[in-house]
Amino acid sequence: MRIILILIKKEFLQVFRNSLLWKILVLAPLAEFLLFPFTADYEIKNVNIAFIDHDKSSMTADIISKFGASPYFINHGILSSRKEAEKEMKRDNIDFIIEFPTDFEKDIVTQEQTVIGITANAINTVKAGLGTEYVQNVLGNYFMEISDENPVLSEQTQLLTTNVYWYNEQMNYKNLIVPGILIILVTLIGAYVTALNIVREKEIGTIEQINVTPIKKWQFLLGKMIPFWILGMVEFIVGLVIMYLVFGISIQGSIPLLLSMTAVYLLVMLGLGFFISSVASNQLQAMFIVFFLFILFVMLSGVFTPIEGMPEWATYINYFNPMSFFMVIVKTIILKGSGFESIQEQFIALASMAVILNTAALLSYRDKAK
Amino acid sequence: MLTDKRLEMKELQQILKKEFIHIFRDKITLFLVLAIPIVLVLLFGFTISTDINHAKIAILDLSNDSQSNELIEKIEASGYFEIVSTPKSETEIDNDFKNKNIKLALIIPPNFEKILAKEKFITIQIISDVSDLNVASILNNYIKAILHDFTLDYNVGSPMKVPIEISTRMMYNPEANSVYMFVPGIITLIMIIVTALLSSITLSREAETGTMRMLLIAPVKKIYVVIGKVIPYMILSFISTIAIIIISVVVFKMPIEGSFWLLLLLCIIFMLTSASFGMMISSLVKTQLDAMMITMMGLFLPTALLSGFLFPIDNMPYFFQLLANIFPAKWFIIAIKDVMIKGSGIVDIWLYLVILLGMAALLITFSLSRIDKRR
Repeated sequence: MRIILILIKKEFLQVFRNSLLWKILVLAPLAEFLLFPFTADYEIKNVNIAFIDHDKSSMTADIISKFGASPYFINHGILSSRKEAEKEMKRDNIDFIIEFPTDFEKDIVTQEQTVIGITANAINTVKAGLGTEYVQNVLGNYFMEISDENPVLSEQTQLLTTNVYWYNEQMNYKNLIVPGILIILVTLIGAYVTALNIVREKEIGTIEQINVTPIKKWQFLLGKMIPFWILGMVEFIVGLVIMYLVFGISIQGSIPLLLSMTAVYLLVMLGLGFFISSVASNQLQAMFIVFFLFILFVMLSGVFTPIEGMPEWATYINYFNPMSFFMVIVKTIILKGSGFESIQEQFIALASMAVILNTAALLSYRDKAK
Repeated sequence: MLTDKRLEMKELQQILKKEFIHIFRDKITLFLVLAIPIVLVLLFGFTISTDINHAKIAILDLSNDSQSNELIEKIEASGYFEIVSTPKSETEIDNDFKNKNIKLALIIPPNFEKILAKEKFITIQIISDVSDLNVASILNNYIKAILHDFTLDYNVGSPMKVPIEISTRMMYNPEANSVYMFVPGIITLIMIIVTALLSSITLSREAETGTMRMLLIAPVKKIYVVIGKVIPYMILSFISTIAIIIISVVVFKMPIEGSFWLLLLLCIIFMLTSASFGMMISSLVKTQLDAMMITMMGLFLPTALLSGFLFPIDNMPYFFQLLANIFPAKWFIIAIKDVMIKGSGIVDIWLYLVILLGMAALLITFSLSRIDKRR
């Protein structure tokens, strides 16, 4: 026990002696956490829209003013020609062009068929898709209004919908992204730092010195693990406080439950770091392996893109993705306020990963010692 | 004079040769550097999509008559939804959200068929899990479209109004393929990682093991030491980039509307900027761990979040829009999209090239002066 304590002390000394390292490990992640949720706004608003009006009637003017009134659109007014409109779109100044044909109002009054053309800049598919919905909503509402006098329409049965929004009543994108970024930072600390730290001892040869001392392998690993585990936990807790104070997200569920889940998750990440450090022979290799897994975990975890959009085989990869399990746990505890029974499966998955990875790391170190 | 120049070239050649020996000796790292970008692009091209096709939902049917069944069948047939639960009461819905991870619940009111026949309006309640806002609004739109369809079918026979047809045209990306949005971003991230990270690490490794000092006291110009260390990694990064572009064109059907040579020029310039970022970082730190953490925290994460690859820049607070300008990735992503998708020529993107080159020049000057001091 005393040996482990000494090792822990050594590790903390090393971190805090290097004035740069502790800033990178402690201050940088917290600074990023404070700043980045402000950038991560995926909600589609500020859709830049312009019109080509071949009709120039009171009806088209009415419709254009409706778009000006909608909070989703920035109205760039009427452009003279198709050519000009496409030039503006190429420069990324506008996202949507709406084109009214000649005799638009006359055709509608006389019930003739007429066509409104919508052109969307579709490089950003989300913006194009949701933007089209918004455009159709504005147009649909307008025609609902003007056809109220129409006796035929008022005979028809309509399905109305009322929407109820749960778990994020203010419809705030930050509620998803803030926990996501927190998880990413904790993961970086866990896996990256441990892997590189141990490989570094290998590279500069100090691990040989430890090998010849009476320190046992498991003591060495624990001595490495506990400091970084503490660091990760502290960072997560400070992150939660920031989340509450700055972003106004309070934890709906039990805080002890959330923290114990985080403790397990950190064990998985530390174990992964150890395992990689025992496989890699220099820091460059370790870094690339961790980097590969890190990107893979983040992208498949559903923080940035919906899991529902992935093909089925990709969702199977997620069974090996600790971040995806932890993301579900954090989301259900923080936003939905669920208890342990809702996250049992995820807990079991994480716990078994922690056991497997740490055992594997310990075993592969033993092999080398022989 | 001439012999001087020749001698200098020879010095550079020697440094390059040394660095290549380093690279080829460590076969595992070489393999990782070349293979990982390719695997990542393939994986993300196939998995990242903003279309949703099997969202879990629950339907609470308080009527259970022929019309409500028809509506449910319609929802099932759409392919967007997977009905995982048919709760009996509203309290059960809460459980489904927590335990079955449903994204949306629909409540069909009692006497659905009767009310449909008698009244003009009937209200269906939609409960959405908006902890993921975009998924929620996309699903809402799907559901509304299905309900609209249902009313059209129901009203068949009675005369229709609205003589308006809306024709939609998707510019630059007619099939609304998400790959167009992600591939340029992925190319950028991978180039930053391979170039900036590798060059910062390789330089700080020499500093960490103390060999940098030997190199600097060797009778070789300091600038050649640095250039000679960076060029091999730029070549590796260039190979990866070409491979990624080939994959995105062949496998994911990305177009190259503009000139291929302009695209290559753009990539080379961006690589230069990334490499000089790496040099700058390595001139600030003493160990590989520091170099790597700074590259990750100071370059990679900000690039991913600020470059407009994941989140639209014009949605950000003004301060961040300004901040985004100092990261080369923003300019590169705009330019690469212009060249690959919109078919822009050098007249349209020259400004971005100048910005990237200017950044590189600044960074290289700064890091050389730092290395000078260290000596």
